[in-house]
Amino acid sequence: MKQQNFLLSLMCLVTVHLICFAGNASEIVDGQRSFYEFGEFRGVNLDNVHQELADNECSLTSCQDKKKKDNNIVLASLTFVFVDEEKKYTHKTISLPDSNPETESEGRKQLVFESSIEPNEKLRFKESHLPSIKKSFSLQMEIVPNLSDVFAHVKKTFFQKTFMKKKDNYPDYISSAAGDFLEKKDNLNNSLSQFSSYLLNMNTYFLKNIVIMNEYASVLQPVTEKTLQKETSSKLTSKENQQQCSLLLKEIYKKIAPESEYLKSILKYEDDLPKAISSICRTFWHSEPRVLTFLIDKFETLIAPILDEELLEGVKLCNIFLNMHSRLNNCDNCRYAMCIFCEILKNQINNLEYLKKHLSQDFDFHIFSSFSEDYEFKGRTMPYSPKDKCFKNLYNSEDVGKCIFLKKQKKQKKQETKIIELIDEPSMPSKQMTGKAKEENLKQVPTVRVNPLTGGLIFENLK
Amino acid sequence: MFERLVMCLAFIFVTLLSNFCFATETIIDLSETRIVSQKILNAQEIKNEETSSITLAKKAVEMIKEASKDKQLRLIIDFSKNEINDESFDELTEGFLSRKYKSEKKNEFAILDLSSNSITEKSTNNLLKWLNFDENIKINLTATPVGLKYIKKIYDALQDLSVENPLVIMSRLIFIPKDYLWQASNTVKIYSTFVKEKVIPENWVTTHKNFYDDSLIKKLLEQRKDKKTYEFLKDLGVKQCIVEQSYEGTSDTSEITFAEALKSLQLTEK
Repeated sequence: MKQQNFLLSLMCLVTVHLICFAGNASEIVDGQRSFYEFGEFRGVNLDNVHQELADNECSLTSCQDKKKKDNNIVLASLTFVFVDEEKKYTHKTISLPDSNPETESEGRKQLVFESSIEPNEKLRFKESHLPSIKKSFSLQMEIVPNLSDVFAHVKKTFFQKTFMKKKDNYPDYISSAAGDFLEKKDNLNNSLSQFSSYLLNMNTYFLKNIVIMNEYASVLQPVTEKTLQKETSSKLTSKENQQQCSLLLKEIYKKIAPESEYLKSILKYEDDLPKAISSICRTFWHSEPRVLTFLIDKFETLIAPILDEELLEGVKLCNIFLNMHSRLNNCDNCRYAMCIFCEILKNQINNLEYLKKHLSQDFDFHIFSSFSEDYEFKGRTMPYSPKDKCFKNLYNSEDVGKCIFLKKQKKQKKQETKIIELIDEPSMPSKQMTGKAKEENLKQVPTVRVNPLTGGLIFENLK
Repeated sequence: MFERLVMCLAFIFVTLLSNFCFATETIIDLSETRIVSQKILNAQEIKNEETSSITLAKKAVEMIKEASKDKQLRLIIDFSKNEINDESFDELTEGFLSRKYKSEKKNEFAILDLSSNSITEKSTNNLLKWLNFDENIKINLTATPVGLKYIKKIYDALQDLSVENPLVIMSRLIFIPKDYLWQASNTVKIYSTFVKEKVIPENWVTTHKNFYDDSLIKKLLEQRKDKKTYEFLKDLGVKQCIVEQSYEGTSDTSEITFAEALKSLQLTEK
């Protein structure tokens, strides 16, 4: 009897394994948000693709201008998966090339997209000139499948969450600085809203956030960090605190005022709105949306060699993956942009008559995003280290604590679990986490899924 | 004093002369109008003339007349992204060319931009009509079912129509996008095979380069790039607002407009 039970349970286990394996192999499950190791899909080893991008990024970072070392850089490639009449899958990955005719004589170059608030265009590096310095780093991956899933996690911007809701938890002087900064932010918003008649048909909200995030990252972070260091090291008196605070505010005002003027000067060209908007974007882009706008502009060019050389008779295109490797983790606005871009590009592809007949019935487009450094600990969009004792109150809530726990789990048990990496900023508590991410479950579960119907997180054990 | 006056007069004379001698460059922008054939409109009993191919033809003629009141124009007619198929292109061609352009022809039609439409080799006859209409005109067929290597279909159709010297016709068709030109000419074998088979002329790369070096097309591509970025941002904004609203559960996603979303956002921000 015991033997029968054992055999029965063994069979069940094997069946479950097979189902899980088949499920994994045949489709990308909607809502899987992040993995340490994605593995193969239709013959494409996504880990290798991202590893290659990450290697290049690592080399580039090491030779990046020291003055610009805080600028994020992104490398990207497109993977096309084809299926023939016998249902055999093949694939081709191309890096985003620089097709500028002026540089033809020097050969083709890989494009590197750099974030900046300066109006400089993307940097160009020649592939053969990449230095061969490599260092070990962990490769983390995130899949951005659809908008609502991501939205469930990234409801509001980091800025609003931290300052608007949690500012009472700050030490007094930072709290007042934050309050004043908020006021200044409102002024900036107001100055932007004066142009609402021109901007009604564009993304004011998105634009404002980009501007504010940039301000936030480039000004507030270093200044407050300095203030904090001084505060913790020398125990400043309250007068000195106030001085620090006013210094901090002066820095912020100094930075914001010209930007606001700059925006005004650009937006006065009401007769040429698209041009004005483009010039703003060229200035305030993070690197990820820069990649996306590049793709929107150049998609026709990028698909051309595939149509000419790969899509022979009987061969259909069944998947396009956009692989993006960023040095720093994606910010909220970039996540928004990425998943909205998924929909926009899918629509664009479906509207292309000349491409439509080459698509297989189950054609789909996905973005895979990986990064080398987590801005939770080091980076621009998170101003305070969560490890910092001064701000531990920020992370006291149940949900947030669990997010941090997940990250620590991953770091400690990287070799064992390999798959889990929930990329959720500790500052953004999500309703969906409540009551579901239990510690005992996490130890067993290698996959985190989002239920597409409810938006809740489901933890599944694929072992 | 007298010398200065002479200099001034000479300058004015030169300026006036240059205005008379050189045509003004203009883009007749009729892109993204999304038209359908008049026959389909009639069959469906929908009286939306705005979307008819005949109306587009009329509009094009009016716009050119308006722009060229007292001056000579060198122009692009931009019909890109209009979902033009063979049937609607037939109506469009008839509608445009039948409007007495031959008698009062003074403008130079430099480029007919048909990119990002559904025109196939069945429209070859109409393409020929446009090419005959102005000896300088070049037709942009990129991002259509006959773009890239599928340009051979046009060549085959020309042979079926027994056109004399099809290579001359082929040299006036643009089928490779600007940024793919280097790669296509240097690495893609099929185009060198086409040259050997005399499907495309030997100087096709130069023809394309000259086309993309044209100041008019440069202007058009620059405009289009700005427009694309703008549209992308607009889409981002609209969708972001819609999703945000639906997540909050305050409004029906299918009904909400961007303006409404923006208003409510501003309220919540305050």
